Amino acid sequence: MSLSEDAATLAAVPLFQGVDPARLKLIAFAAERLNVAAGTELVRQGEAGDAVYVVLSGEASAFVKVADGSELRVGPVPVGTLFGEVALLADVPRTATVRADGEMAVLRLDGELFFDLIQEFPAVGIAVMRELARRLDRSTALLRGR
Amino acid sequence: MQRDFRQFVWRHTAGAQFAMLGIAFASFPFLWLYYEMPKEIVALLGADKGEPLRLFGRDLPASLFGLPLDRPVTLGLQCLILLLLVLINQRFRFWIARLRNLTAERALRRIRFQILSLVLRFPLHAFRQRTAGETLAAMGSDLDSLCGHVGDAVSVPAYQGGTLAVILIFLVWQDPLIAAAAASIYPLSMIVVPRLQRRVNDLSRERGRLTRGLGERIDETFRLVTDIHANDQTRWTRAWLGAQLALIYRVRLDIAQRKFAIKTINTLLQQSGPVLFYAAGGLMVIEGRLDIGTLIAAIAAHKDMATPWRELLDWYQGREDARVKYENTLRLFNRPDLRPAARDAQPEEAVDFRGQAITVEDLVVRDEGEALRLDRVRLTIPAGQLTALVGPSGGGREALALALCGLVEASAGRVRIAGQEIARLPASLVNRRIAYVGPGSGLQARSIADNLAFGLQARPGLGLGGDIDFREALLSGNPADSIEADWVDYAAAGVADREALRRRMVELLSRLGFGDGLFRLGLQARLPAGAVADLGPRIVAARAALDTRLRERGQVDLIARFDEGGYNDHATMAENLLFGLPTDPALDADRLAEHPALHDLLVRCGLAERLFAAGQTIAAVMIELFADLDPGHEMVRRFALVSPGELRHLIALSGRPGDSLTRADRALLTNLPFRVIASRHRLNAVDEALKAAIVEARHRLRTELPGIGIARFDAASVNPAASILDNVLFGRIAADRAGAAGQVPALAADVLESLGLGDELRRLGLDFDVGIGGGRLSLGERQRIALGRVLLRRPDVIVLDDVLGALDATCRADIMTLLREEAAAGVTVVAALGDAGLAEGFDRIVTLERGRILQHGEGRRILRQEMGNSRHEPE
Repeated sequence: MSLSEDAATLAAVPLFQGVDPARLKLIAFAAERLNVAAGTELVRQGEAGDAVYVVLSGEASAFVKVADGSELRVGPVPVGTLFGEVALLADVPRTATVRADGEMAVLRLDGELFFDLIQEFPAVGIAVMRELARRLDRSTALLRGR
Repeated sequence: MQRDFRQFVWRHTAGAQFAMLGIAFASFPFLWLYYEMPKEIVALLGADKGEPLRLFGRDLPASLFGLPLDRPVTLGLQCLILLLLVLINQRFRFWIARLRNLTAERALRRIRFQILSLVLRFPLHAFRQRTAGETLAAMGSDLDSLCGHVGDAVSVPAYQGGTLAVILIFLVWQDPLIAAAAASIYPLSMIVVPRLQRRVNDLSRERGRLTRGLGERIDETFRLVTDIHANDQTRWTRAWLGAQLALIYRVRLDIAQRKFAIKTINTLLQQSGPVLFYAAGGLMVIEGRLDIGTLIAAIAAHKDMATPWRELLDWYQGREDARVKYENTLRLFNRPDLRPAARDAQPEEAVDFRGQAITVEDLVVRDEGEALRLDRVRLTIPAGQLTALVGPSGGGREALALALCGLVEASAGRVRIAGQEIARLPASLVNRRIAYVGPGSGLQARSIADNLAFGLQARPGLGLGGDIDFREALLSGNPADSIEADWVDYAAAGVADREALRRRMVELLSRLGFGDGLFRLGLQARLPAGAVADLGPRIVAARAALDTRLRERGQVDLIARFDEGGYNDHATMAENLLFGLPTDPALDADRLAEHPALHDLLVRCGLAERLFAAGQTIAAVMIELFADLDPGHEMVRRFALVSPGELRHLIALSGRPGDSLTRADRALLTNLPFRVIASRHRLNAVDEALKAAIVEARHRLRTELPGIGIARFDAASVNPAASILDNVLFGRIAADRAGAAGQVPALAADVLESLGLGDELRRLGLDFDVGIGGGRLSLGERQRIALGRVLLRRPDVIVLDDVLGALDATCRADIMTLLREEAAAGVTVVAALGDAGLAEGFDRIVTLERGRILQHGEGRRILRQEMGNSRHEPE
């Protein structure tokens, strides 16, 4: 996979829509591209967070441990999702476990890079905010629907 | 040290000075003959034909060894003698110079060593007033000139004064009147010069003081550099340093001017001499009272007087300078309150404090300002128990801890152990049995093992003498101990030899919670040449075992193994080309294309142009990616393939046609691809065709340049240039596999442990160089080593001054367990603590405030009270 292809994948990620293509290439270059075997846990609930991930291909699932110790699948993590940012932004342990459903590729941005990007390129910061707001809205809608 | 400079010279260099004096006197007859010869030659030339030929007032025979002695032959003979005399005089000068340099250098070595010895005898509080920088300044160039003068002390006045005397006597011999004229100028300068010199001496003292002040300020700047930046005091600091330089500048300029004035007066007097000669001597020749040969000889002799006179004058200035510097140095270091000198040769009486209680009897300790630190403290510290001294900082706990080790002088009262007063026992005995770790305890810039053995180096071992020149060391008052000898006292650590000691070190550090750290350091170490035969095959075995382990888990692809026939996407292109690591410093992995032989090879393979083209593409990508950022931006520093400086340069170069680039620019671009790790950087410039070409070049490199300094990767043996971890991996971690970076090293460590290599690696970790002040280790690791150092030498008493509070909680728990074991073996353990909460687990607690004991009793009881009083929660 070359840098330009990774950047093109990023451009398709909703989170990064509106971010200048040249920026995307820099993000792709500074981040690590990881191939993930099926069943690999990318983040584990309760551990300290040190990076955020963007799904480039394949799909993962998010799980939350419930009171009796069993795991509850809370939802899919499809292509183009940014995950792992809550632990970094709020400085709390990982709130869920993300496990690869099958072979997948992700982009790993370590914490320092993530904050650098937000500071240096406001468009990225706004994109993250938009994503968080959207999720909040979805949760609220969900609650209202009950 | 001798009280004044003259005594120092007499005491230490009398022999050499007399020898120089002897040589000087032996040289004078030849000097006389040297001045006599021109007269003889002129006399020969002026003699009438037929007159008998004379040499030194004697008639010459008509022939010598069958050679008729006519005038040309005699002239030749005379010139030969003159040449011989020149050579002889030079030889004398050479002997004197040699002896002089020897004496001067020995004196320098002696004084420097004496100063350092005195510093080692300073009472501890002196180090709060003196800085290393100040000492360094006092030992610098000033001492150089002082010691140069030690060599000159006798030889110069003897030789130059004698020369002057010879010339004067020679002149008197020729004509008393001329001699009087020649000498008349000297009394005047003898009056004027010393007056000027006195002022110069005062200024020299001032200069010494100011230079030391500068040293002190530089020292402080180094020490407080973080604070200076953190408080934004750089501008003020610059002004502060500049102010001292201004003072030094003024004094130095003044000294130089005055010294020049002295020289000027002298030169003036000297050069007016010939005028007198021409006037008085010329008149006498005209009147026929003096023959012209004598006048020429007299003028030649007088001209030669200039040099010895100038030398004498320089010597006089030098001596005054040296005297001042010596006194200054003495005042600075020969303090009245020095600790007694160590007597290395004294026979060792074995002392044993194990199981002995310490009694403190009415102890009073004052600090340098006469304030009371301890006020009539009475205390018995039982052996085999843990005793805590608790109190606020400055309340007396620190002073008591120091007094227990004999490190601070008592104004009244005493500390006894086993019936002996600690202050009266030689320090060498006390401090071998009583160990102290304080807030200032630190590490030397040596290996971990060396630092651990720091308390075991009381005296050099027998045998190995190293290459120290004992005679020379004694002649300059230096220690005859060889630093190369094995100083470690294995018996003191309770082990038989070096290997056993290293095993003990690993055991101790592991118990202090530093075992994993040592293992990690061992993994990063390279295999020392001496261990290859023993450990090499076992590491290769670990390589295979790791491979099996990965296969079992189906994770073979976590490591990209080195394969001679293929390109490794996880290694740099440089590693791929060399298929190994450079061992020759000329072969810099970042600048391979600049290595002449390698460059030729790249050209032969047709790679030079392709790499250059790839370099241009990479440069363009870097500029595109980082264009909007300042080249100095943190992201450039962390992520760009090029340094900020290189990025600026590449931006400046971009758009310029290829043929306008300089050689260095082309080299920079050609070298760029070598840094690329294909899987990490994902640059199109490094495509499959280029990779194949690199593998091809790798084979040609092997066959065409077999002798080039590369430690090649070889599946069957260890690579001496690679770390042990890399040797076990025999490849690069596939960084694009999720989790590989964490799993692979853990698996490798697991395999090594299971093969029984864990302790071997921890022992290799002992050779890690800790850096200046232990800076390459974390604070916790440094503290663990400082504590391990104390436990290793098995002392009878352990005093920890403000140490436990600074430790992290796990380390504190580890050390408490160890201390408890020591106490069970009869060791007396005392810890000074700032916080009563830390005294949990101590048998006895003593609380001190304002230099007095407030409470003293069983640990748990005191602790309950303290907690109740202050409502202080233990940590």
